Order: sequence, then structure tokens, then C-alpha cells
Amino acid sequence: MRDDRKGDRKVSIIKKSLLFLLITCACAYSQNTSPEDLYKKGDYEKAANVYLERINSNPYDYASYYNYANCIYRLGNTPEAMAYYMKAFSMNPRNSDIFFNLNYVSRQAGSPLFPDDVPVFVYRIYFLLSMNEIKAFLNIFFWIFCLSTSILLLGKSTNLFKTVSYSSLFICIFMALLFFFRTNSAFYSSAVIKSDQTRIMSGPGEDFKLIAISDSSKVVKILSESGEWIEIGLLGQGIKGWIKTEQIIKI
Amino acid sequence: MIMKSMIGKLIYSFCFLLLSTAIAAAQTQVSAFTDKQTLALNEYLILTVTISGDNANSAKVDIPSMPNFSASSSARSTQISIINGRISSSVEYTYYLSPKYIGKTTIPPIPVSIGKEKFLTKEIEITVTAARASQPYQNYRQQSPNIPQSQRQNLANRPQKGTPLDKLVFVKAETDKKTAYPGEQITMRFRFYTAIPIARNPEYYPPKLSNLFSEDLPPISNGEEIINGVRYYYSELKTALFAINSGKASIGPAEVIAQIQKEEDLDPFDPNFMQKFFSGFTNYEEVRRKTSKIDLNILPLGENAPKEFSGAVGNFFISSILDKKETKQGEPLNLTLKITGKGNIKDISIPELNDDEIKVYDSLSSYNLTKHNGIVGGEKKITYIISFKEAGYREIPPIKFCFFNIDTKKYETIYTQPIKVKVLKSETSKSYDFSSPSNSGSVQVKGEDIKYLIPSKGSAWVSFSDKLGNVSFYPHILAISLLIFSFLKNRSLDKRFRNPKLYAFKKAEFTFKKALEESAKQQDQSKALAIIYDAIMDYLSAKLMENVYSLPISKISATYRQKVKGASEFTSEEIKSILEEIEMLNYASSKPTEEKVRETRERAENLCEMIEKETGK
Repeated sequence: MRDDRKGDRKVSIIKKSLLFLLITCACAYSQNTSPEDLYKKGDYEKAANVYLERINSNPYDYASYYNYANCIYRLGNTPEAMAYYMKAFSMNPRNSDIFFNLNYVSRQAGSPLFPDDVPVFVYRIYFLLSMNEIKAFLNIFFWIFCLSTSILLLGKSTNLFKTVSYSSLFICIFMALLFFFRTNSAFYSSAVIKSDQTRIMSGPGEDFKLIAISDSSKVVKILSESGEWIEIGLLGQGIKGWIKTEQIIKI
Repeated sequence: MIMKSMIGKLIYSFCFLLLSTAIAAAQTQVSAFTDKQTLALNEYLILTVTISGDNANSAKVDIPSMPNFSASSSARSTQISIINGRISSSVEYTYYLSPKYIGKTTIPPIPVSIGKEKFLTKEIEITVTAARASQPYQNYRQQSPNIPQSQRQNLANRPQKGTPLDKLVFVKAETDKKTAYPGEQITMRFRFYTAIPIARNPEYYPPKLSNLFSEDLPPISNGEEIINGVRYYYSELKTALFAINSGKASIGPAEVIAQIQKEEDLDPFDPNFMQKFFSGFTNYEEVRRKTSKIDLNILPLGENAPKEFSGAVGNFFISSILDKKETKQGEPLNLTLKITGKGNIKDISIPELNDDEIKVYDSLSSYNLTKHNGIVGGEKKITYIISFKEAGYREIPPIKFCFFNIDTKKYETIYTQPIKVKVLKSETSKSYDFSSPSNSGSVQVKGEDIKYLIPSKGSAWVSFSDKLGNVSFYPHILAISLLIFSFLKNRSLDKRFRNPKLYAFKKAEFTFKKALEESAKQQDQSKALAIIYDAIMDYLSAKLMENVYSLPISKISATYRQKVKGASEFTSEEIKSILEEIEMLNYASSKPTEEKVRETRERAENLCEMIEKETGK
């Protein structure tokens, strides 16, 4: 019985050692093949795959979107890179690297998102908060407003509650206006055209009249959807039309 | 207090912004003036447009079309000053204007553009009088002493009647040389001759130039000449031409459009013949005269040009001045190089200043173009902003300037004198910034690329803001409900405070029924009875809007009848009966039974309903 126990213990130790070895090797391998290393070595395709996996496992990691866009850009796919930079920018508009790359790529694609006639700091202020942050602040301050105003109405009329109530109302109005204006920006309900010579039709089907042909990397506003077709508006050109869903990348 | 100080700061910031904008706008000044306000028809005036400010050197003057004047550019001069690294300049453009008509006229506002900004000078009023009688004629006589006596006697010779028009009015263009080097001045003399009166000063259309560029040589001179026994009045216009490349060059036909008097016996030499012409004579015709094309041969510059040669052709002198003889390591100095002489001074490129010990931040150039005696020349100033890298006694090496000497027909290299400077050790590593960073600093932008990867700093905030931003509607409903509830409650409280009796009146039934329910729960029947009694008294007080506790029972019933308009006899009797019954039960020796109390409560409930009906009416 004692010998059996000793034997079991040995097997268990060997198993544990093997497992430890396996984990160490895996870690070492993963360190050697980190996407940063792959990117440095110029293996952009593999790096892009790793970043894509990261995006799938954590859709809130803006750095993965940005890094994926970097890889895709290096592979020459400017429209997709632009779409992913825009996604990263819509999550964290305060990151200067994302802003720079998006501006750089959009200029290179011939449709600058941040034209030079407006100083950069204006864009940085206007895009200080992401849309989700604006909505979150709007919600929080709305609740604070409701609570503080209720307390005020119920007879606790102190200066503190008055200040809180008025301030939260002011912030709510400001956030609501900002939200309203930002819904018209290129980063809200928009998409990027994937390829050159994309046909824009007057209705949701090939039988409708062709009204425009667009180059790739153009940012369009999504207006409505109908099956495989999406109604889009070309920003700043006053063109509205229908395009196949597969021809665009949604932001 | 905080708000006040914030508003104060905002106002100050706004004022500062306004002030800075005003200062920026005030930095550029544009003006125009003339040397005289009144002139004769055969004279000219000098118009000077002055631009001063930070960017004056890049100003562009667009002389508008002036139907009453013929304009020709004369000179341009610039002055540059550098104070504390800030560069400001003043530029003067000079134009010669010859009037076409007699009378009052104006020089319109002259547009000056500096980058995207546009400025306008003020309008200038000018009075043009009739031509002065003696001056041109006397001048001509004085300036032309070689005219033989016999010809002078014939000065009054008029053209014979029937002379062809092309012999009466004609033009002539000639150059001082037919062969020249690129950059060498060729002077073209254009003359308009007339032996008959003309309506106004003729319109001149300059020739098209091939492989040449031109500089006007104002002013237009006038005079008289006897050709084949006929006295002609002429206007002469000179133009300096410079060939661009060796090979062939040509001057196209120059054209003049004049309006001549037809068959009118007016004296063209009468200084006021134009005035007379306009006063009553209308029979005139337009004549156009063109010169012939002139071909020029442009010789190549000599071979074996020094490597410093950058195309300067003329005859030049060079000198240099340093703004201070003692400086600190790294502190900027202004080294001014002056190139003077004849030749097309504008096109001289900046000579290089190469020395390992000297750091050249920037170089600025300005020029003063002169046209004395019909020869284009002037002065070009090049200011180098330099600093010494090392301390000690240092020397600015001679600066080389190479040009093709047009007089000797050879390349010539001239040098400035070396300048000694005492350079003290710098206390700080101060850096200087200059407004035009073309060559400054050691960083050269070679290209642009996307930024590198960024590390993942966690996505908690993005995730949180996403969840909070897209939260379901229930928390909002809760918040809105809370707000509505508190609003209603506030309104109710408000009503209670405003009219407590009315509030009590309306709430009386509710309070009464609640009290009855409470009495029903009581085990002690005496207490239950007391609660019923108090409930009735409270109810009646509220309904009658009077405290009935202090009144005797009979008075309560009477008050009820008095105050309630539709009060029935039964109800008032019932009030009295119930209250008396409760008092009786209360003061009875035995405790009230549960049944009796319930009966009283039921009676009280019925009474309440009756009173509600009656008071409701």
C-alpha cells in the first residue's frame, strides 16, 4: 500500500513538472511571438491576426483596434486601416497617436477628416470625449439633477442642493447639445468605402440608376438599411444613395 | 466668489484676445502719396506706395487700370530690421504717372495684398493743368545745341498739306546694342513722332519679349526733332531689357494708339492744343502705329565659370557689416552683406556663409533698385542671422561673391573683409527662435509616417462608459418618477401651507376614516370610543373650518346648520345624538361594550357620508 502511494506521488510530481514545463514553454513561445515583435519584424499579417483575436476577445480595447489598423495600413489596406483608426478614435479620442494616424491616413486617402482650415486644438477640444462618455455623463448628471431637484422639492432647500441641481442641469444641457452636434460628425453612424470604383445607386438594387462612383477610403454616413443595401450620404458632397453592405466597413 | 473670479478671468482673457488681434492687425501699414498734387499735362508725377510691417517684404502691389494716367514702374526699395529675433520690413514702390487729360482727376485706391490679407491705400486727388508753354521748347533748345542755325530758323516748319498720314505720325524703336550677354542691360528707346495735333497723350502697348525680361526706365521724355525739314513733336520711352539665356532673343512690335485731328489747322506746338481740341473739335480719327520686330543675338557667358557663380551679371562691389563686435556664445548676431553696382540686382542669389564655428539660423534679403541715367542697378542687402558655437576671439571669414563683369567681359570673384568678434562664454544654453524657420536648427523633416504601436492600457473605462452610456431606460424612469413624485408632493405641501383650512376640509374624510380604522383595531373600548370622539370633532372642525372642541354639543349642531347651506335637520340631530351617546358611554360606570362601540363607529361613518354629501353641495 505504501509503495503504491509512493508511486502515485511520483507520477503526480512528474505530471506537475511536465505541466510546468509546458506552461513555461508556451509563455516563452508567446513572448517570442508577441504581435509587437511580429510588427517589428515586419510580419504585419500575423501581427494583425493576433490583434484581431484581441479585438474579438475584448471589444473595448482601443489599443488593439489602433494596432490592428497599423498592421493593416502596412499591408496596404488603407480603407480598412482608416475604419479601424476611426473605431479606436471613437473609443478614445484623446489619444494623440490615434488622432495623428487617422489624420495622416485620411489625408493620404484624399478625404481629410480634420481639414487644415481649423486649428488642431479645436478638434482636440471638440473630440475630448467619446460618444459613450458623453452619453454616460449625460445619464449621470441627469440622475444627479433628478435626485437633487427631488430633494429640493421635498423641502430640503439648501444652497448645496440648489448648486448641485443647477450645475447638473447645465452640464446635462451642454452634454445634450454636444451629443446632438457630434451625431453629425464623421464618427457617428458612419462607414468607410472599401474599394475604388464603388457604385452608388439611386435605390436599394442594381436595377436603379447609377448616381455616383466613389473612390475607396471615403467616409460615408449611414442613413438607413434595407437588406443587403445601405443608404449612405457622402459627407460634404450632398450625395445620397444606396450601396451594398459588403462594399463598406461600418465604424 | 469663485464664479465672480472666473467671470473676471474670462473677461480679462477676452480683452487680451481682442487687444492682441488689434495689435496684429495694426502691424501692417499701407500708404500712398505723390510728390505733387497739381501738374501740367506734359509733366509727370511720382507715386510712392509704402508698406511696412512684419510681412511687408512679401507684399504685392497691383496698380489698378487708370484711364487718366499712364503708369510705369520706377523703383523698389526695402528696409529690414531685426529686433529681438522679430523681423519687420518696410518696402517702397515708386511709379511714374503721366496724365492723359486736363482737369481734376483721382488716383484710385491701390490694392496691396500680403498673403491672404488685402489692404487699400487712400484715394489721391490730382489736378492736371494745361501744358506749360515755354519749358519743353526751351529745354529742347537748350538740350539740343547741335541743331544747326538754319534748322532753328525752320523750327516753325509745318508739314505740307497732302503729306501722307504715315509720315505725319510714326513710331520708332531701337536698341543701344544688337549683341549682349545674358543679364547684360540692353536699352530699348521707343519714340512716338507726330507733326499734327493729337487728341490726348497716346496709348502705349509694350512689345512681346522673347528670351528677355524688362524693367521700365521712366520718366517719359518729350521733345522736338526736325526730320527732312518737318518739325516733329516726340515722346520717348526707355526700357531696360535683360536676356535670360544665350541664343536668339527678340523684341516684338510695340504699338501706339493715338487720336489725331483731321484737317484742322491747329498748331501742334501750341502747348494747349489738346485743350483746344477738346473744347470744340470733334472730328478726329484713331491711328495705330507699330514698330518692327527687333532681333538680338545673345552671346554665351565665358566658359570655366567659377563654382560660386550663380548668374550675377553686371559690375558690383561688396562689403559687410556686423551689428556688434562682442557677443556671447550662442547669441544671435546680424551680419549684413551689401552688394552694390549696376546690373539686375534683384536676381542676385544669396552667397553662402560656410564656417564650422558659425551657426547660420537664417538669411534675409532686400534690395533697392535704382535707374539713374537709364542704367539699372542698386544695392542688395543680405542679412545673415548667425551665432558662434565656441567662445574666444573668433573671425567671420571673407564671403565670396562671383559675377560676370560686363565691362571686362570676364568672371570676377570679390571678397568681403574678415571681421573679428569677441565671443564670451554663455551662462545659459538659451535658444533663439526666428520667424522664418527655413534653415534654422539642426532638425530637418525628411518625411512622415504613421505612429508606432501603442500599449494596451486596459479597457475598463471604455467598457464602463459604454455600459453607462447605453444603460436601459429603467433608471431614467425611476429618476423621472422620483422627480414627478417630489413635484406633486411639493405642490400638495404648497397648497397646505397656502390654505391650511381648505386643505383640512379636503383631507377631512380621509383623516376621519383612518381614525375610525385605528379605533377598530383598539382592544381597549374606552380608548376606541375616545378615538371616535376625537375623529368626529376633528372632522367637524375641518368641515366647518372652526375649532368645535371648545363648543358645547348643542352649539356644534347649531353651528353645522348655520354654516352648511344644505344642512338637513337629520344630520344636525345625528351629530348631536352621536356625540351625546359617546359622552354618555364615556361617563357611564361600566366600560362600553365592543358591540356598542362598533355601532357608534358605524353611525359615525354614516354621519360622515351624510356630511360629505351636504358639504359637497
